[in-house]
Amino acid sequence: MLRMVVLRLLAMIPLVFLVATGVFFLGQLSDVDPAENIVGPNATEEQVAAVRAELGLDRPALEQYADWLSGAVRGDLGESLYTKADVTTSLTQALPITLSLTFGGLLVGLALGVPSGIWSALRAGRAGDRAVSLLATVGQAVPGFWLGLLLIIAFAIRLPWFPAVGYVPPGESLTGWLHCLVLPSVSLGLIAAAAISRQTRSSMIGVLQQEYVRTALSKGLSKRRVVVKHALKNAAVPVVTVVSFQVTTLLGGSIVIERLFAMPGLGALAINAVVRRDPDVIQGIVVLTVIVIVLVNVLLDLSYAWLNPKVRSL
Amino acid sequence: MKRTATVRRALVAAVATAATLTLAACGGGGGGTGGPTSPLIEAQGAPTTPTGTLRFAAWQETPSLDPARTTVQNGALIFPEYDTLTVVDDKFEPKPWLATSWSRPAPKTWRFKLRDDVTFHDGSKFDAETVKLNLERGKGVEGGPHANIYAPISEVEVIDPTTVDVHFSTAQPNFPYSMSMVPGAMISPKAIEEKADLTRAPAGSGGWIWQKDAHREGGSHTYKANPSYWNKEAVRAETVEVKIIAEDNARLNAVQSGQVDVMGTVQPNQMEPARSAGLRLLSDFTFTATFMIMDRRGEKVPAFGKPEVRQAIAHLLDREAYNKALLSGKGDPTGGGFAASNSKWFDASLNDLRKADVAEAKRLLTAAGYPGGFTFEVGNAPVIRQQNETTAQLLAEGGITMKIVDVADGQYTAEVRRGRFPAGYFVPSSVDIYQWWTRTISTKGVYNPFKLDDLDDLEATFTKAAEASDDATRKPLMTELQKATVERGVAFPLSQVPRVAALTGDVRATRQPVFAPEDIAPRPYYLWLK
Repeated sequence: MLRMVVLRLLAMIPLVFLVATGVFFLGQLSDVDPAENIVGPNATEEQVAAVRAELGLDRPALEQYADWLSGAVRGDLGESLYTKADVTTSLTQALPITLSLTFGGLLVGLALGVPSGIWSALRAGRAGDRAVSLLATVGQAVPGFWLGLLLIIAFAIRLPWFPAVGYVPPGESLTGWLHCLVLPSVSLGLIAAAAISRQTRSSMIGVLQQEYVRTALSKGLSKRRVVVKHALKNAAVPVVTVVSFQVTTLLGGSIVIERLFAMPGLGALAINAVVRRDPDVIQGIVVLTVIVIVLVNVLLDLSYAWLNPKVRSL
Repeated sequence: MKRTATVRRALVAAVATAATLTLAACGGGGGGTGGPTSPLIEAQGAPTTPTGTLRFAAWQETPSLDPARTTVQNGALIFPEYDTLTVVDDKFEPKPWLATSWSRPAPKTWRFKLRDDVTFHDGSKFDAETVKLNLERGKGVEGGPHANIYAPISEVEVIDPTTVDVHFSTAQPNFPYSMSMVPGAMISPKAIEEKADLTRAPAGSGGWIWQKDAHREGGSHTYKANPSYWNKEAVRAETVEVKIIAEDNARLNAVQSGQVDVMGTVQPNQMEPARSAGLRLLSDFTFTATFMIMDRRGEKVPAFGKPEVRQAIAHLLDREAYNKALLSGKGDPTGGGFAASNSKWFDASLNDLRKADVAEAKRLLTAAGYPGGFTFEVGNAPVIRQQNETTAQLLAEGGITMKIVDVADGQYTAEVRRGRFPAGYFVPSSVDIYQWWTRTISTKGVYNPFKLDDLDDLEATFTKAAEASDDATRKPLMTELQKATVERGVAFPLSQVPRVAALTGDVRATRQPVFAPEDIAPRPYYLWLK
């Protein structure tokens, strides 16, 4: 097991390298000239060229890439062309916000998706099941930003229970942090809940038809004990797979939700960096995102092992 | 049976919750039916020492807190920290701030008398030498966004510690006005001499001091009241917080939910919802939506070389229709010239300069040899897509096809300057008529990619206006320039674009707040919370 984890982490190195390299050279194809953005609309071509040279953007792409890579391997991800802000610092500030949102959304997704999926599976084919399936379909179809907008108007403006915008770090106020995460987490989480619910339902239906379940019930075990202790654990493997997909989806979805709730997370940083073409910031975000996704997959592998003893022996 | 009833109840509850959520959301925010009826200006009850937090919403993070490298759109993040030489009143006239008075001893010279009691946050003193350092630094910044304002400065001469003469290569009648905007923000002489990087370490003398530790990149900027400020009367809030909220709806939501007190960049379609939510709107017209033809020699699109074609376009661009379709009727389409009706340069005689007339446009196109119209391309950025689409619809009435070509974000101006497009959308100032000419229309400006000289004869008129000693002499000359611009088929005003800021009902000002024409929101000076 330990070997598997170490191998997965080692495999992350070439993956990060390949993705970062690809993104860097794709960025070179972009029409956006940061020098134009920096000097504004009133500058002459000569002034733009001077700024381009000052920023080193007139150097060959390979030279620029080698520069970035040599810094990155030493832990220096460079700085923003625009704000001169250290990329590592910017990422350190933005990542907790995005992770808070992602895991807040995941929490909502699991809290609603798993119980509703089980409940639905236990009533397969009946009205309750159909109602949950309908809600799950609607949940998957509703865009997160629209739902977020409705939630803001309903629960931040009409009923001023939660903030409409902004982020409070937990270090500043733990209750403030939880408070500001409610609406964005629900906006993100309801969509995840729909997917998790559907997967839990179908997985549970399959497991509940297994003979060992019927045996357990016929031995007189309570239905609750059979479902929670025996069936759910076996039904969980495909659900965990869906949850891991949802983490990736939630990371992507948080870009829109961060904008709607004015939270300066990775999404806001990424949009600004891509729109203005801020190469070091883009590279930093890509590297960090790849690392987060690989780590989530490693955790997923570990959870498989916990859920299925056969995996542990591999 | 019991289980069915439970399911039914659960379903009913779920549907009711969803319906409540939707209805509550659709009902809009706030309970008011109109903006506050109480006056904004109220001195009684204002705190005598800085109190409370004034919260602003800005639409974007600034790339730099260095005024010489910051566009006017980011002024909301500059003005709490920096003082400007002048400010502008509600009639757009320059008024004293760091400069106590100014005069024009010669057509190409401005003399400023300065305050002697101003200290920067880093302890250095403000004087005539500081102004010289600032203007020379601004001129020296390669490709800075205010190059057009600093470039004509030929010399800055210190007369005495409180008097400075600014000499220009060409007459700059609006220089005191320009000094009320970001280019007029004064940086500490110490920071300039030490060549400090001001990107995220500003060095001003303003009413509030930027807080490095509280700054969250892309999130918010915080400023604390300057205890040794020279104009204590103007600093009523202890803290100024500017939140960066890029999304239009999110900004309005933040004000409606009481998380923000002042927001700028209210969109025309947000004006009614904001008003009905009980917010106070400050609205005027300071920019002209303009369609400009740059390829007037017909190099890229031969049709544009024909004056009749350009006049046909003038008749197709229906200002009323544009205003209704794009600005929810909140713009001002009356002006046939480029100056706003609330500006001293507005001349009603230009209102009928061109009239929407599709039949006449078709006649002109036929006379020019284009009875079936023609096709051309314009550049497009996300923020002007609707403007371009509306213009395309209006031109289509005459059979002209305007193809909208997306360019990379932030590259619109660059592509225009490179001559990729024969025509395009511009939004010049409708208050600063000199900038309108020198920056946008003049063939000496930056938007002449086809190197034309067809307006060179008008430069003499502009120079005459710029060198005149009074506005009464200048106005007819500037009217002549606006008229010639339309008649020669150079550019056509589409509508005055509303500039709108929203304030909660709790915001008051001890006197008229500073809301300069290029500001997106009132500056925090004199504002307080009731």
